Amino acid sequence: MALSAGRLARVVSYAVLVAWGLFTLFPLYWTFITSVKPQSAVSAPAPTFIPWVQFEPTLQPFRDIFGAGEGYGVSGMGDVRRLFWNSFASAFFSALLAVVLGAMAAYALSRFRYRRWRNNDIAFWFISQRMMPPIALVVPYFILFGRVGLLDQVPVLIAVYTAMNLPLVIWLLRDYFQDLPIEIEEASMVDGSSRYGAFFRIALPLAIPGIVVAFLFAFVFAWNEFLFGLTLTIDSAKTLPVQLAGNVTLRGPRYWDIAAQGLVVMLPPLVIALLVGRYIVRGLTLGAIK
Amino acid sequence: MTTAQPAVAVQAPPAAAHRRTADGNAKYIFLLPAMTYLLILGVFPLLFSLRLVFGAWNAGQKNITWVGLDNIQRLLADSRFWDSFWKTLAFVALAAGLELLLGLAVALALQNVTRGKDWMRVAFAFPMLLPPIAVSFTWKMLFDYNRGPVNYFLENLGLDRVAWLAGQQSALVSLVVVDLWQWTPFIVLAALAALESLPIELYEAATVDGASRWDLLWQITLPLVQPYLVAIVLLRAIDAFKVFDTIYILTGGGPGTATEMLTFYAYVAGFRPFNMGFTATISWAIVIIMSIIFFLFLRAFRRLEEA
Repeated sequence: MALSAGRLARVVSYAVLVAWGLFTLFPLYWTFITSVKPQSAVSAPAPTFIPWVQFEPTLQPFRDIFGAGEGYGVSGMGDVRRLFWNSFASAFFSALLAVVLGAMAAYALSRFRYRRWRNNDIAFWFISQRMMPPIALVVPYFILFGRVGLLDQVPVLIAVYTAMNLPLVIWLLRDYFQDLPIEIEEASMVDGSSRYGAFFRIALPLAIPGIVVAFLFAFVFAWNEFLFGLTLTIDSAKTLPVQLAGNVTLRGPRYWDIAAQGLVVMLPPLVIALLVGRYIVRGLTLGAIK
Repeated sequence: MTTAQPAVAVQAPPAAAHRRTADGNAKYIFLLPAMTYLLILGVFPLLFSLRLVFGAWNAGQKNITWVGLDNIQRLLADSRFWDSFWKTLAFVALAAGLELLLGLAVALALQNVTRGKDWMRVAFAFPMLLPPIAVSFTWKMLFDYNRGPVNYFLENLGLDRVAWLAGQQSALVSLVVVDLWQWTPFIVLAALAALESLPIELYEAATVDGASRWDLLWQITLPLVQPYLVAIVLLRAIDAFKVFDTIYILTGGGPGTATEMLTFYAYVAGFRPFNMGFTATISWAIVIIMSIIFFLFLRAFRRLEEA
């Protein structure tokens, strides 16, 4: 029996999806198994793929990078607690600030009409800030923050990451507010509530799901950021990606360490993706397509 | 719309008029904090760096010395810059072009299936959320000449090992592969959203008229999503232009300067011999190029909104 056109199309589709799925997941799988390989398995002439069958998995690389193992001297990640705090604080507080400023601006763009500059012009001005190449800000930031003695400080990273994420947050939340029904707010204002009351008591609570998604985005992008971290910190405000980059270039191909350290830095975004992946998929396209 | 407004204003009851003035304040109080923030940390530093284009600055120096057009002349005569410019264009064209093809294929496949569609959409999005630095290390392991699985697979297929990160061309290809892995999902998700927004009636009508699935794809689907794809691929190109992290980890711009894209060259020129004026000049060249692509994107996007 010949395949019908519809069946054939479905078979081809699944073949494409399986192939892409393997391509997407294999690098993650490889990172994971390498992080639990003993050194002998990593240096073996042929690569090994299956734990317990081809090699005996070990947690030694993780003990070493966190300082509990003998290999800490060569494998240690440095002051992990401080690095983690720097990365976490700069991502968390910048995301918070971006969401506060962004929700207000997004609400304004979806509820008020501006005359001199039309709403769309303002929205595009915001998104044009997202398009600017970060390298163009690296030099002025370096000089200006250096002048006032603010290099190598976490608050500076918070300030910079807020600016980096604010346009995206506004863009996402503007969409969200536009889809909320306007009638309840209008009714409350007819009943004597002010615009601020309508925003804080009605629109904001309704927008919480959108705000959470925008917050997670801002958090992840700040957590992942490298160029500003590299140029604006020296030591005490260093973030995880900067430490990771430095560690490994110094030490050559100690892949068990590299994999374990990479995994540690990947972990928070992976957890976020696993927990709330389906809610952030749309935001990932920058809301470019409605 | 504008002609109708005076009439409305005359008829409006006093309470509403009062509310409008209250809004008049709120209008600015809601918008200005974000705007001011970006003016201070986005626009002002950019203008400050414009000052640097005509200046020189060294660490510890308080003021910028005026050097006129020196930086610009040096840039225009700098073959390393032009090299880097063309390499960046090649990288962006290759990465964005292949991502468009692959992303569209995966999006069409996803649209074609029902079972597993939702979780596949999420799983495929994973790479976009991961730190590029960590991703680069992952690929550094995969591309390892002696012990990496990529060469192991090639050998098992009877092909030769490739010095992925050490060859002039292969290093560029490696960077493209990493970019494909991390950012094709962006095109998949955006193209799928566009595909799902197409009116289903058209397909029904065409099927009734006896069109084959192949006809549907070429005659209806692709022409209809084409304007979306233009906007999507330009957005991707803008981001691909900024490539830095993967170069920093995987090739360091090498071998030689084979993978030295613009952002990386700007960084190297500024922070290794410490010449901030020259870095600012390269950065401004990048700003101008990106503004042109962004302008094209805006045109494509506006056309979409009008349609």
